[in-house]
Amino acid sequence: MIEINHLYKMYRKGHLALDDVNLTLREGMVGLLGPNGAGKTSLMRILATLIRPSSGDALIHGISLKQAEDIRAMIGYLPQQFQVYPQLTGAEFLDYVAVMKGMSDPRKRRAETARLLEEVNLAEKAHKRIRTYSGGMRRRLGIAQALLGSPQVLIVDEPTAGLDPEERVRFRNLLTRFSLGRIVLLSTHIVADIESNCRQIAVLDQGGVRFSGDLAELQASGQGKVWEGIVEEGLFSELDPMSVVSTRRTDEGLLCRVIADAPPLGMEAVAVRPTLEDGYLALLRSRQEEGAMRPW
Amino acid sequence: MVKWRRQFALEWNPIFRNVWLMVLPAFFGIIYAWFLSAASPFNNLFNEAYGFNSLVHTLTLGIAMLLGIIAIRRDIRRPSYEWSTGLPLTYGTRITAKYAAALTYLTLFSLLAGALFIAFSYGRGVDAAVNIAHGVYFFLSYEISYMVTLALAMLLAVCLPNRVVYLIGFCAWMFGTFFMQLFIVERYHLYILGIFHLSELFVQGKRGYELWGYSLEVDELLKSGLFVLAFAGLLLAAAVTILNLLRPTKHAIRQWVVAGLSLLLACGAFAPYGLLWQGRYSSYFDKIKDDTIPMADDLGENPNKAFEIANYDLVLERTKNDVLAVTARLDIPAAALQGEQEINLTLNRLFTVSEVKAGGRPVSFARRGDLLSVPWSGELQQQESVLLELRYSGAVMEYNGRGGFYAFARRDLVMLPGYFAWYPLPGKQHLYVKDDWSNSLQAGWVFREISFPDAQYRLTVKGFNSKLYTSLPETGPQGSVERPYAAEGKTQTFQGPGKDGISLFGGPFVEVSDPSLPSRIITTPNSTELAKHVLQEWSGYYQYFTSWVVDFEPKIHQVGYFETEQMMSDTAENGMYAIFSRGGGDNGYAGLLMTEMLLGTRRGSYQIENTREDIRLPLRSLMWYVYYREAEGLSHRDIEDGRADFRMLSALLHANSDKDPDNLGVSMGKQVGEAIDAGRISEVKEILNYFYSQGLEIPVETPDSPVKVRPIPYEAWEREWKRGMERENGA
Repeated sequence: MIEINHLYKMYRKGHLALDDVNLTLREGMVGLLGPNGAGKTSLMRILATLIRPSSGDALIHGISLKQAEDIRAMIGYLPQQFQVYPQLTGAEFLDYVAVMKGMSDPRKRRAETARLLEEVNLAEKAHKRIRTYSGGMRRRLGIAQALLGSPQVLIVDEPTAGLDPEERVRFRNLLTRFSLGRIVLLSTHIVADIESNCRQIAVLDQGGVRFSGDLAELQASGQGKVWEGIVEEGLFSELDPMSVVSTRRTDEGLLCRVIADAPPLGMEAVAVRPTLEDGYLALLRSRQEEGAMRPW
Repeated sequence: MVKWRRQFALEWNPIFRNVWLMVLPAFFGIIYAWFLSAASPFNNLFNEAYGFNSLVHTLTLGIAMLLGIIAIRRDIRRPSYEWSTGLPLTYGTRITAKYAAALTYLTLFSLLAGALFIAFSYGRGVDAAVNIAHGVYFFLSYEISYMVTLALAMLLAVCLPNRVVYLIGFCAWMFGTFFMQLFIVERYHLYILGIFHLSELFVQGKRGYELWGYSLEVDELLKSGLFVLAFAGLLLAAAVTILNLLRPTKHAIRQWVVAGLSLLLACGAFAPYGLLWQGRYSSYFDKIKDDTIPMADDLGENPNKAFEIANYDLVLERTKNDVLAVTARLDIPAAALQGEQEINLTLNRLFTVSEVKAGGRPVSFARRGDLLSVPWSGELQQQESVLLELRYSGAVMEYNGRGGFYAFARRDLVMLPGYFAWYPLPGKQHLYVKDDWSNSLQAGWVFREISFPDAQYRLTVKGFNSKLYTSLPETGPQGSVERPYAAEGKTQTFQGPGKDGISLFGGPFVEVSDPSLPSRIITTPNSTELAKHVLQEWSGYYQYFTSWVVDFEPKIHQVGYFETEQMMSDTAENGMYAIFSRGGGDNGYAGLLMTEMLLGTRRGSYQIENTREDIRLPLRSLMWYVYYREAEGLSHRDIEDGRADFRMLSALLHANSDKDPDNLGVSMGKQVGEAIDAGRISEVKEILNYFYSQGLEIPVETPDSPVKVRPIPYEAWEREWKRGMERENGA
C-alpha cells in the first residue's frame, strides 16, 4: 500500500507542482489521470525517489520516502522519456539492470532477462544493439527493465506514448498480469489506457487530487452532464469548443456530444449515459469552472 | 563490488568500443615514436622527450576534459536516462566507475609516454635503470594530470547540465594550462601556483632536463602529487555530494561527512607543499629585506676586496637530511692582513657556524649576513700566518625566486658554485644584490666578479652515494693520483692549485673520454652521444695544433657538459670548462673547447680598449685562421665568406669596430693570408709560436689579480713579422 500524506512540491521558480496531495493506493493497477502539467510526473518522480518533496511524505509498504535507498530496492520505474545506451544489446542492457537490482547469480539473471524479453516480445532482438531498435521496441525494453527483479511497486509514467494500438494492448495486458499481488501505478492522460484494467483511479489537476476512487465513481462524475444532439453547422461554431467531446456528421447535421451542466442553448440535446472519459472530462470541466468563478 | 564492476564494464564499453577514441592513443604513439626516432643523436633524448610531452600531453588533456564531460552527460542529469536514477545504485558507485573507466583509457597515453621513451632511450644504449626512472616519471606525470583534469571535467558536467559545459570545459582546459603558465606563473614568478596547473609537465621548464631537473624536485613532486590526488578526490566527492543533493538519500549525513573529510584531506595535503614553499619564500624575502645586501645601483665601481689565502683544507660531509657539515682550515699569511683588526670572510648565510679556532684556540666571531668576522689582534698578529679553523653546517636548497636554485645539495644532486661561498672566501664580498628595477634578488657575481684567492686546495667530500666533480684533480686519500673513489668508501679527495674558486657538482653523470685527448667530458647518460661526437671532433683539432704549436700547454683537462636551466653561463674554472646548455645539440663545442684548451680564457677581453695596444684577440684568431687555411683547405675568400666558424675568427673579420678603428685585425688576417698564399706557412707558424709562448690568455684584470696581464702591442707584431719573414728570406 502507498500512503501519500500532505505532499507538496514547489520548484525553484515558485511553480507549485503538487499541492497537498493525499492518496492511498492499494494493490493492483492504479491509474493516475490528469491533463498535461497536472503534476503526475512530479508525483511519480517523488514516489520513485528521484526528487524530494518540498514537504509531506509518503509511505510505500510502510517505508518512508526518506529511506530512499530502501524504496529504490522495491520499485521498478519507467519514466516518460526513455533512452538506453545504444551500443548495448537488449540482453546486455537487462543484464546490467539486473545486476544493479541485486541479482548476483548469473544463471538466474540470464533466465529472468530471457523471460522478460519474451514477455515484451523482444526475444528475437535480444542480441541486437539497441541503436537498431524502433521507438516501440525501446519502450518495451523500458518496461522490461522496470519489471526486472519483480519489484513490489511498479511506477510507469505514460508508458503507452508512441506505441501502436497492438503494442498498447499487449502492454496493458502485461501490466495487468504483473499487477497481481503488487501495486502498479500508471500515469496517463489517455483514458483508454486505464478503463479496462485499473481498480483504482486518481485524477490530478493543477497539482491537486481532484478525484480518487474506482472506475464507476469516475464515470458517475459525468452523470447528467453529457448531452448529445444534432446541431446545424452555423450553431456549431457558437458552441464552447472546450465542452464538445465529439462530433459526427450525419444527414441531418452534426451529431455533437457535449459536456455541460445544461444542454447548450439552441441545441436539441438529450442526456446520455457518460463513458469513463466523459466522467473524467466532466470532472476536469467542473474544476475549471470552479476555478474561473473564484474571485482570486 | 559486483555492482561497481558491472558499472565499470558499462562505462568501459562506449570508450573502448569507440573506434575514434581508440585511434587517438595509436596516433599519439605513432607521432611520439616518430619524434623520438627523428631526434638528433646529439640531443639529449630525455630533454627532447620532455619538450614533446609538455606540449602534446597538455593537448591530450583536452581529451580528458571532453571524456569527463561526456561520461557524465551520457546518462546523469538527463531526463531520458532517469530510469537509471531510480535504480538502487549509489552515485558514488556510478561516478567512481565512470572515473575509473575514463582514466583507464587515458592511461594508454601514459603508458605510451613512458614505454616508448624507455624503448628509444634503451636503443641509444643508455642504462636501463636510468631509462626506467625517466619513463616512470613521464608515466606518473601523465597520470596525475589526467586524474585531476578528469575529475574537474566530471564536476563541471555535474554542475552544468546544459551544453554550455563544453565551452566552460574548454576554457578550464586553456586556463589551467597555457593561460595560467604564460600569464600567471611565469609572468609573476608564482611558481607555487604550479600545483593548480592541470599539466604536470608544462608547469616548470626547469624540470625538463635530465640533469638537476625533476629529480631535484622529487620532494616537491611527491608533495604536489599528494595534494593533486587529494584535490581530485575532493572534486569527485563534490560531484557525488551535489548529485545526492538532487536525489533523496538516507545517507545524507554520511555523504556530508565524506565531503568534509575530502576537504580536510585536500587542505591537509596542501600543508606539506605550502610549507615547502613557505620556507623558500621566507629565505628569499628575508634577503630582500636584509640591509646588508646592497642595491645594484649602490654597488659602485669598486671591486670586491679580498686578500691572500695560501691554503685551504676543506672537509665536507653530507649528513642526515642532506645537511652539509663542513670543516674548513684556512692558512692566511699575516702579511695579507696588514693593517686589519679583524679577519673578514664571506660565507653564505645559510650555513650556521658552530665554532671558529685561530691557531688552534677557539675565538669569538661575529656574523652579519654573509660576512663572518674574526678578531685578529694580539698574539695572533705576531705569527707569520694565521691558521683559521671553522666548523659550520647547513642544508643547501637556495631558491632564486625564479623557479630555480642558486645552489643545492639534495641527495647526490649537488651544485655548489664557488661564487655561492659554500666555503669561506676572503674579504667582504657581495653574494647577493638587490635589483631595484625588478624588486628581485640576483646573484652578486652577475653585477660584480667574486674574488677568489690563488691558493692550494685540498677538498675531502664524504657521505655521497655517487661521485662528485670539481675543477681540482682528484687524488687518493694519501695523495695517489689514481682515482680511488668507490661506493664503499664514499670519500673523495681533490687536491691542487686553484685561482677561480672551487665549485662542486654531483648528479647522474657519466664520464666520456677519448684516448687521443688529455681531457674528458662529464655529462648525463642521454648526452653521451653528443659528448663522443664532440670528443672526436675536438681530437682532430687537438692533433692539428699539437703538430706545430711548440709550447702547447692544455689549459683545460676536464669538461662538464650540463644541460640544465639551473645555471646560465659557461664557466672556466681551474682547468675545468663547464658548458651550460638549455637547447641541447652540438653548437660547435669542439672548436670552443679547443680554443679554451689552446688559448685559455678571454673573459678579460672587454678590458682591452684598443687593438693597437693589445693584439691578443687577433693573435688568438690567427691560430684558427691557420687551421682553416691549412687543415680545412679554405682560401682567405672562403673565410671572409663565412665558411669557417666566425666565433674563432671574429677579430680578423670584424672591421671598423670601436676598439679597432684602424682595422688592424683585418689587415693582420690579410697579411697572414697572403703569406700563406705565397707558401710561407711555416714562417707564419713560427711567428705565431713566438706570440703563443708569450701567453694569449686574456683573464679579467683586477687590482687584486694574482696574475698580471701582459698586453702585446701591435708594434710587437710588426717587429716580429718583419723579423720572421726576413730571417726566412735571408735563409
